[in-house]
Amino acid sequence: MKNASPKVSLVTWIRSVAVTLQGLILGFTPALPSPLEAPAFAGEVIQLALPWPEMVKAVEYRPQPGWFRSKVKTRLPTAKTRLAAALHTAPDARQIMESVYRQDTSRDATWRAVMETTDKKGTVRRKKFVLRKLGSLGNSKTLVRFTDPAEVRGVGLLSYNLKGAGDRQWLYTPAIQRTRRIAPQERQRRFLGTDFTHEDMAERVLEDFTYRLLGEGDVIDGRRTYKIEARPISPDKSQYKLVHLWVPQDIPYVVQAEMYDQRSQKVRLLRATGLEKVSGIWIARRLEMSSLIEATKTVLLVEEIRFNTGLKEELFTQQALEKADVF
Amino acid sequence: MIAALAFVTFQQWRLHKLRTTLTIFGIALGVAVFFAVRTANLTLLGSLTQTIERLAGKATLQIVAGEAGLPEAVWDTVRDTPGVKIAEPVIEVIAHTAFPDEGNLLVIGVDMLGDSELREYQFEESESEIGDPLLALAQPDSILISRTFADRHHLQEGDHLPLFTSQGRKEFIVRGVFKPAGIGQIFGGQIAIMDLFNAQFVFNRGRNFDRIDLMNEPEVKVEDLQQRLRERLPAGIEVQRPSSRGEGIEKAVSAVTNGFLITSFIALLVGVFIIFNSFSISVNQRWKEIGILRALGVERLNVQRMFLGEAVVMGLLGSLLGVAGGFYLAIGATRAMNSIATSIYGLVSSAELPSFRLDYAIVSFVIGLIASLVAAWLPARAAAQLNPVLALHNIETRQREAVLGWKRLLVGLAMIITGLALIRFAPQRADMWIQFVYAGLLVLGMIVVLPKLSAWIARALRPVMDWAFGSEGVLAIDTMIQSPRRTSATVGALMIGLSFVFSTGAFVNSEKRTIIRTFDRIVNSDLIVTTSRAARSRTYHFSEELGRRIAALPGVKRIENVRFTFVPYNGDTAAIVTLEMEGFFARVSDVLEEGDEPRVRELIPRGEGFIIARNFATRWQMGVGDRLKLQTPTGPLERPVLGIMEDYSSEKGTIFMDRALYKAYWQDSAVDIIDINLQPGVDPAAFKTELQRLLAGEQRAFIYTNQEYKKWLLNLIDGFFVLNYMQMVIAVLVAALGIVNTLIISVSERKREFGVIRAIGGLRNQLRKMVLLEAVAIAIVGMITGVIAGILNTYFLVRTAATIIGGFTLPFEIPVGWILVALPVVVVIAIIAAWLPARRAVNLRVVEAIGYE
Repeated sequence: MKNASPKVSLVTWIRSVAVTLQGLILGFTPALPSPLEAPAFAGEVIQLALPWPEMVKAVEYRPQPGWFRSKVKTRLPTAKTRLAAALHTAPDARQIMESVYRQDTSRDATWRAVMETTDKKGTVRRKKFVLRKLGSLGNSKTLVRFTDPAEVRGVGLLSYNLKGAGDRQWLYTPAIQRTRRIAPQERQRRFLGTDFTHEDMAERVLEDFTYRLLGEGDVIDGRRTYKIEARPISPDKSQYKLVHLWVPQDIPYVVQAEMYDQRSQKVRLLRATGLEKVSGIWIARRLEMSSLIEATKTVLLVEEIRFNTGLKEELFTQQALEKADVF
Repeated sequence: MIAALAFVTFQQWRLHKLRTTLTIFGIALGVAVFFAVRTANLTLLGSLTQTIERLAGKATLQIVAGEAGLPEAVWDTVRDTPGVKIAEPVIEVIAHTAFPDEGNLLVIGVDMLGDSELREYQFEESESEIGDPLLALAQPDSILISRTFADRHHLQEGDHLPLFTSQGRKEFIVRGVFKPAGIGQIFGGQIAIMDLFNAQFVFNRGRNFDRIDLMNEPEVKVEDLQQRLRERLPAGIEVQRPSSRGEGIEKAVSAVTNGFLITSFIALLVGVFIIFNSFSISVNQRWKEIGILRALGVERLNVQRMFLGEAVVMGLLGSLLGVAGGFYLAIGATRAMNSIATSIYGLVSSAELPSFRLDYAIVSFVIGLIASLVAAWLPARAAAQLNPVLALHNIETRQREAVLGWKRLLVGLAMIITGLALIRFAPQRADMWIQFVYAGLLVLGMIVVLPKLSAWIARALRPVMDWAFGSEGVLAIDTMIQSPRRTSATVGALMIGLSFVFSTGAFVNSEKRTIIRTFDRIVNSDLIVTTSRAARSRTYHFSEELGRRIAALPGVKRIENVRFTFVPYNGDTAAIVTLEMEGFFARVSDVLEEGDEPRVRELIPRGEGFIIARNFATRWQMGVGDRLKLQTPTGPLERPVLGIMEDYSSEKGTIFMDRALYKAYWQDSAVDIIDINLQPGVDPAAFKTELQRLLAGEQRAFIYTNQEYKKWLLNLIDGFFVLNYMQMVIAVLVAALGIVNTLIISVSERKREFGVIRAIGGLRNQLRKMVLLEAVAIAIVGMITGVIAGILNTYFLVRTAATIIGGFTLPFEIPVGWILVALPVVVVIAIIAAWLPARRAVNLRVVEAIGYE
């Protein structure tokens, strides 16, 4: 079995688009996978007003392995009350992020989106795609199909992130009717020419970071925010030294993230705008990732989202991947 | 004392500037060729290795399975092997652009999604990415090119690049330009990158890769992973370090490098002869001076030291010049080697300029010095042992006996007979260097018997010279007979040079004749279509579709798709030729040298056995009935050897099998050659024109009629031996220098004789004629001894060297044509070489000449 290289996928990435939808930016990465296992309560929790205490002290949370999962699973019935209470009294960075991770409760999802990449010369490349996802965080299958422009129409990307089986991705190119398995990539490398790196695309979990509440953040799009610092638990496995996250006090969603490299230089900036709730799940309609050094950016515009439409397993097979005419 | 002797030597040099210069030049030439060949060899191998390293990137292991490549399924097995961090397949194709210059372009097919983990790419848009990777993946016409290539053809992103692919001419779109760093430096920057699967598609690789490069997890040892992979993969698939691949390639070009090495040794040998010649002359010329020195009390050892010291100084100067000149000669030799490696072996190397290697320079320098000392040893010893009393009298008469003794003759003959016996009876698979000892015995034996042999030949020539040229002819031949010591070395140099010319000529003739005989019997199709101007291309192939299209044309009776490739065999490689054997048997009668022909004709097309080439049988000690086991990418393939045939396709030895069998085991449908058999009455030339018209601008293919193909094949052989032809020129040039040397000293020694002749009424023209005829006599004796030595060497070459280089045993033949051509050429060269000494003789002032002692 192949090792522990960073979990990567175009799928995941596109899914991050969907991000928007989901509490995408769980943790700090814009492309972080949807909180597929999120309990039903999450959607409600985020609707609660989250008052900002006057005397917020930075709180550092260091989870023990397995702690989070066991806690969540065993205490779900009372979680809502506990979290609400915690936020009212002394906001905890870990709890805020947990709410972000847990807000998406969908079983399946279908997205239609546009991706625009702008290079340093100002040239804009635009691609449209449809993303279908089945399953929950850590146990999902995703199929992305590009629909426009004509040169990439029909290109498909199938991604499995199955429990115990690790990640596997296949890319289908209709021009030569071939499917290839995609190899793991270096984490700092750009993903398919976008401003997202492979690490940004990786499926991270809450426990991969430590969180510290830095205080009240800027007002973004008219919303008061918390500013949280996230540091990877294993610094040698991340290109980032730390990430600053901005989470609205009233919505469990990361609306802004700044990524700092190992030399503490700010290298990337993510902004999520056009927040709205679809089927009880918060999404962002527009997501912009800027590479500050290269002066390039990638914008994801979500055109349509549908949750829980009853997608079948058969749609997520290699045979289905090779049916380029199925959108 | 030493200083005084050095002064004497220096005076000699001053007086004999030309001889000194020629001797130094002789040393320089030998050293230069040696140094150039070694440097060029190193440059070629360095270039190949560097290419391999750059192509391998960070790979610690490579998975290969011969030229036919690996099935795709191997990739999954490798990727899923614990300890493998990255595994990336590669396809390499030397494609041709459809630009007017039809330049070569090395196209590397890699997995664009993962390969940058392994290899260094620097794109211009950003350091590591191309502008739109998804687009490059989605479109099979996507190609990325190096900045060097882009500039050369004024291309930029979005432009079209026309390339000939296995599917015909295709327009590719430049999707990115990478910097001339890392992989961008390979092949002189003539490099492009395509997506792996797109490359498979357009270059007809089926579902195969050329190799898989992989990197181990840091915590796993490379050796452990290598072992683990070997256990998981079929035996026909090799797991090796990139460095071993370099060694493999070194082995593949060993025929070329060995050929060059032999060239350099021969050049050195000829150089040694020049020095020996020059010093013998010098000692002869200075008998009296030596006698005086000895009479004055100079000890024997010091006389010997004087000559050896002279040899050291000359060796130093000659070696210095040789190393300097050799470096420039290496530039040409490197180009020649590169061209052979690319065209014949299909290897990818950058035609780089040689770099100066101090260690090689030192080795060459030392070899030049040692060669000078060795060559001067005998003359110096002779000088030291000189009896001072005799030295002041007629030395030649005294020395003749030693040189012409019977004991010496017997020793020489014994050496020759031993050499011949070893060549005939010793095992053919003995070490290369041991086998060269056989040739050494022949050459040494000839050298030892040379004075006696020369004297006999000269005596036999005397009446002929008398009849043809009168008294001047007699005087010329007598001069030669009376001074065997002076002329033997020159005749020896000529003999060595000419023997090399004759033996090489005979060897090439024998090979050509044999190949043509086989060709006429086996390659009797009306038209032959090939992928390359060279015999084949290692990386560029036709698809079967082309064969189908040709077969459908009116006038075509039948076509055969031929695949010519190399596979690993017993730690080395073997050539495989596959074609539709039924068609082959239909047009070829009498295929076998050994084996039951009707049985072979029945079983081979059914894939139930192999035919092997004679050289394969010799090389691997196999015979009819033995079972031959090949490791293929899909598992072992074992069949009986049903027949042995004469074939010269590869020096590695060839295995013939039915195409269907090959395709099943190697999963490779590529085609290298298409044999076309036409309906009776169809004119091959007209059909060729029609086919050319049909394929023009669409498919890169070379179409030959049978006659044209045969001619092309002969030219190819000539091309392969071009270096040997160059050697011949050098050898003859060196021999000519020997003649100049000898005659200058001859004229110098015979000043008094010439003076007397002039005094008694001899004409200037008669003197000129005498000197020129002496040169002619030397040339003829050199020719005759050269022919004898050449015949002996030919025997060595066709029996032993051919086996060393190609495993072939060629028929022996006497190079009559070469001898007939060489005779007038050598005589003319001798006359030209004698012109200056003759002029000196003519211009002697009678009084001064008579007074000369």
